Amino acid sequence: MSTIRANVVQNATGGATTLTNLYPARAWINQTNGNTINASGNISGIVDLGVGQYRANLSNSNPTANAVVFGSRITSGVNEDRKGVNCGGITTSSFDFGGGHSHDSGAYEDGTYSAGIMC
Amino acid sequence: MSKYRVIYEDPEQPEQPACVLVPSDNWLEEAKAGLLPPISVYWALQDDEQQAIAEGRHDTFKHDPEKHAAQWKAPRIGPLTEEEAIEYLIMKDIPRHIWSVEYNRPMFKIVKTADVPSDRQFRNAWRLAA
Repeated sequence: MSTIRANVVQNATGGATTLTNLYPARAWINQTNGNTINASGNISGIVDLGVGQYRANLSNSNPTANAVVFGSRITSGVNEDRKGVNCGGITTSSFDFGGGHSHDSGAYEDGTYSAGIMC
Repeated sequence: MSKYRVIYEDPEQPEQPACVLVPSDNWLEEAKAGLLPPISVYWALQDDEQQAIAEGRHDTFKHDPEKHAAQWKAPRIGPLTEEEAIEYLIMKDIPRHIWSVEYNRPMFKIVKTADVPSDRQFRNAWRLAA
């Protein structure tokens, strides 16, 4: 077994590496109410589009728009697990997420959401 | 945390509330360290993608590898101040028709973070003040 010690790993052009049989996220974010980025990777900013609707902008664009966005809501309380997260609006430079439809009102809700994109 | 936010409205979506762009601290650090490529690199990518959308082939769209690699290969533009970085971010992440076209009122404003209301009770009614 060999050990690789490096601070930065890039491909030949200085971009993201291709990892055989590994499929890491191209970007990810954990944010609250569209106005606080708690943690992120490859994110240049977030857009608060309205209550419970957010857009993550990527620092570096993805190579393709054929991607998948995934998300979850950091929840607490009774019935919080029944609130869904919408993901979509995919371009190579951004994706939309949010939702948290209330099980009783059906309305969007603010909160702490995590989301990411893979392609 | 950045001192600034950018509030904007999309004239193509007049029913939507005002949007608030929040810069990432990580990205701001890269901008201040001089690690960003020329804005034209991102515009070239956006142009190609918009063309694909207009032609109905966005589902299978892939960037030209050379143009995509320019995000890392192009010469860096050097360190930016926070104010310059915000201007760069507007040109990179806010749709071009919002900031490059002259309307009969401003469609975006750079504001202090503290000036954005923290009370979100009427968030979906927010409009950009004239």
